[in-house]
Amino acid sequence: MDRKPFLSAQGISKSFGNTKVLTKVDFSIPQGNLFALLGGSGSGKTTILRILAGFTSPNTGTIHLEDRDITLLPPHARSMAMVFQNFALWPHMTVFENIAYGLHLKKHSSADIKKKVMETLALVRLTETASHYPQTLSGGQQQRVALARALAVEPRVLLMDEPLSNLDPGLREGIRREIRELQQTLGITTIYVTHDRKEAISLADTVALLDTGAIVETGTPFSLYQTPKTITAARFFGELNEISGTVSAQNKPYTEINSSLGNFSVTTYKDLSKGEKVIIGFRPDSLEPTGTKNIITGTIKAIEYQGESLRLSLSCGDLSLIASLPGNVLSSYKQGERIQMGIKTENILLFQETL
Amino acid sequence: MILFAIALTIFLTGFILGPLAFLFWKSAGVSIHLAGSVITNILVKQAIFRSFGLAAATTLSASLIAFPLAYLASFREFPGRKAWDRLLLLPLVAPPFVAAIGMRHILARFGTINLLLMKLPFITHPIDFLGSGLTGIFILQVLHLYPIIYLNLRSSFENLDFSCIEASSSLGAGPWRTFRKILLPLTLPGYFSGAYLVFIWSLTDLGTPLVFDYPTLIPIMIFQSITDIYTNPAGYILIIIVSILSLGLFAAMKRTLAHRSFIGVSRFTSSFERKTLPRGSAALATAGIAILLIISLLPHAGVLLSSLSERWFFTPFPEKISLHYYRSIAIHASARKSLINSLGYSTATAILAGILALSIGYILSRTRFKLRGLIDTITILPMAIPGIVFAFAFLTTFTGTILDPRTSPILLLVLSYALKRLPFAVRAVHANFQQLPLSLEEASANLGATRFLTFRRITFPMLRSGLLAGIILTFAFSMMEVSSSLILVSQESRFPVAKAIYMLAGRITDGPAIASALGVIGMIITLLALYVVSRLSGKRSSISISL
Repeated sequence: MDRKPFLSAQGISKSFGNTKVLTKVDFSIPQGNLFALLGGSGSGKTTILRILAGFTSPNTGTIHLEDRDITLLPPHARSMAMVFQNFALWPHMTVFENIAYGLHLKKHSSADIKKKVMETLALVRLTETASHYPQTLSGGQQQRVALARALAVEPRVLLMDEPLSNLDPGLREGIRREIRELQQTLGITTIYVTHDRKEAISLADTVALLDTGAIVETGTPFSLYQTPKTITAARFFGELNEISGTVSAQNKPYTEINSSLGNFSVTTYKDLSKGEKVIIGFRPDSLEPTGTKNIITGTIKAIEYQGESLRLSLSCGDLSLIASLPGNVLSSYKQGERIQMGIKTENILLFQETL
Repeated sequence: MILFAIALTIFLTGFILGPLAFLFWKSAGVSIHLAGSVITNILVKQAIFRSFGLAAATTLSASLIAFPLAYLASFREFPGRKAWDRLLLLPLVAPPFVAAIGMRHILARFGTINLLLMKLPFITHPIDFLGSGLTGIFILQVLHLYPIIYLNLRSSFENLDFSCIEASSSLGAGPWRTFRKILLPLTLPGYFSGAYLVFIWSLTDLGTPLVFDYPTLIPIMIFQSITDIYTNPAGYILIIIVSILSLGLFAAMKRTLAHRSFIGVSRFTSSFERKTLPRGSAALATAGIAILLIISLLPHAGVLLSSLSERWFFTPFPEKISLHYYRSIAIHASARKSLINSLGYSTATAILAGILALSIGYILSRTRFKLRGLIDTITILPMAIPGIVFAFAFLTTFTGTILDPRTSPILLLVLSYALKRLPFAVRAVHANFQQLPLSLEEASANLGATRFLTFRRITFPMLRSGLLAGIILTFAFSMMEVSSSLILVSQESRFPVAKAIYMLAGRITDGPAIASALGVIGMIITLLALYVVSRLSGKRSSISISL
């Protein structure tokens, strides 16, 4: 990750009228990286992509591709091909013509174009559809044509705007893998916009989590999921049990927390002072019935069998917690039963309480 | 229901297919020899040549005006864009033959412009702007018809999936190439349907050449042949030429566009920012639009001035302004009668068209009636076949029957008005039906409502505003309809406004001024109708469907 940034954005802000869409967004992406912009609707992720593509201009900030400032370049001069959410295949052109379009612009000879188009089609396994019109293809095929059209011009950067959201859920996983494979084989720097955290985690080298127009946290999928630095990221990446407390002592590597549910010992080290208000968070699957440390006691409010897991809703004091146990073990929990569970120390996240 | 559908099919067949079939059958009776002598007749040849030239030139020029305007209004932002967008439709309020009366005042040898120019030191003789009249016809048609292409282009541009445009530029295409390779092909269907209307309108426009007294055009020759309809085959031959051409064009258009119906191919998801024009370009664009509008509305101004001028001889502007000629309408028997007639005819037409459109729309989209295809085809015919052909067909078919237009033209006149607007009204209602989820009606049936109750309480209320818009537009257009009005009615007491205007404009004394006053009333009615319709729907699209 020490490589020199290939594509970078500094201080990007954008408003539409009085609505602030982006506030001082910074990021930089090494060459060949797949960078996912993850966020809910209205988080500004698509606006960032459109600013990178040149369809929208930022109010402040700059974009650099290698060492060149491209903030003011028109879209067609940027060499950033985009795959659109609705594919945007031209209905009046065949699959072949759609893909050849960008190559014609580069003034290749027609023999070269033919060769290149067929190669790209082979890459996405659609050689036989060359003479078809896009609207006669299935959603998954259209998606691959859109990808081929963008790849054929060998762009410096590939931009993808929620490319899987218009596909049937059953198709998504396959195409997701294909995208990742192609991206790695070609080593093409890719920005991938999505609202689906699973998609981002399974695809990306780096994920940037966006919320209301600002980047909350950037990191590898593993670090964002397992050791998020912000509670927003922790909440976004999965169900989170939260307990407020205060720091009672710090003995490296342990931090002792005092809360209404008892005392907890946490290994996530942060420089904190005694008496500071904190929130500890943990995933439902970090609760173990056999655990011996960080014990909580609660009453079972509801039991939900979900196949791969068994979910227990617990009421602990005035808090509600969720426990998720492996579904392959026969259990005899009953509603209203009072039980004890331990939280795995190394799985407890620690956040400073910010209001 | 089924009985009603059958009755409707018989009605449509009887009044649309029947007369056309009869006309073609009659024409087939004209011997090849006679037909040959008509076509080789030098005057007829000239008329065919000029009519086609005129229609082609009008369509081309109207397109050249409409394209940049529609592009600007759709994709660029500049001060006053929304207002200009609406104002650009203003020329539509006066049909070309009314505008022609005003144009004569403005551009004639001793009209306003020449008299103003002659005050300048270096112009001593008046300039002959109008020439033989053909130029005048051409200019008026272009100025009247460009809004139709403009409207069609605007709705094509706005229905476009904008990401298709962005995809092109992200692959490296500059604006011009994107326009040529992506935007243009994708908007061609919309453009063609507008251009077709303009071409056929120009080709068969009867009113404007009549006002300019220009004889060598197909519609005029058809009109004149009516007086000796049983001895002179020229009318039939020309009607056949016009019908074959327009049907052929229509079919060709449908065929090419069949593969090119892109609407709904991809969902319109991408929002786009209109690019703001730099100040200089914005000023230039605004100036251009303003000049075009001023020129387009000169004839309208001419009509207005002439209606208000109590005295106007050899001066650039009227010497005395008054409402004198509006009062004359009340006194002048034939003018007053024509206005009352037309109000009555148009009301009847609007009601008839409303009922027909609603019934046909319902049958087409909500029943499985076997002859739906036939109804659909018949309904579209009045769009494919010019009004003048229909009027001619009615005349030949019903002369000598109980519906003889020479003695009782009202029924046929109202029918021909209504049928002419039918394709547009049905299209609008049909589109409305299709946007209405069937489940809304099913929910009503599910709760125990009968079909009729469901229609009355659920379906109809949701179609109401669209239907009302169609009815209002039908009313306005019928007020100023030309070909049927001129061809079908021969008794003065039954004259509609259009025919009264034509007769008055040809008289020397106060005729043109009274005609202008009638024209202004017609313009006001049309303007009000367009305003109400745009209020009703809040969208331009419904107007563009209804034109």
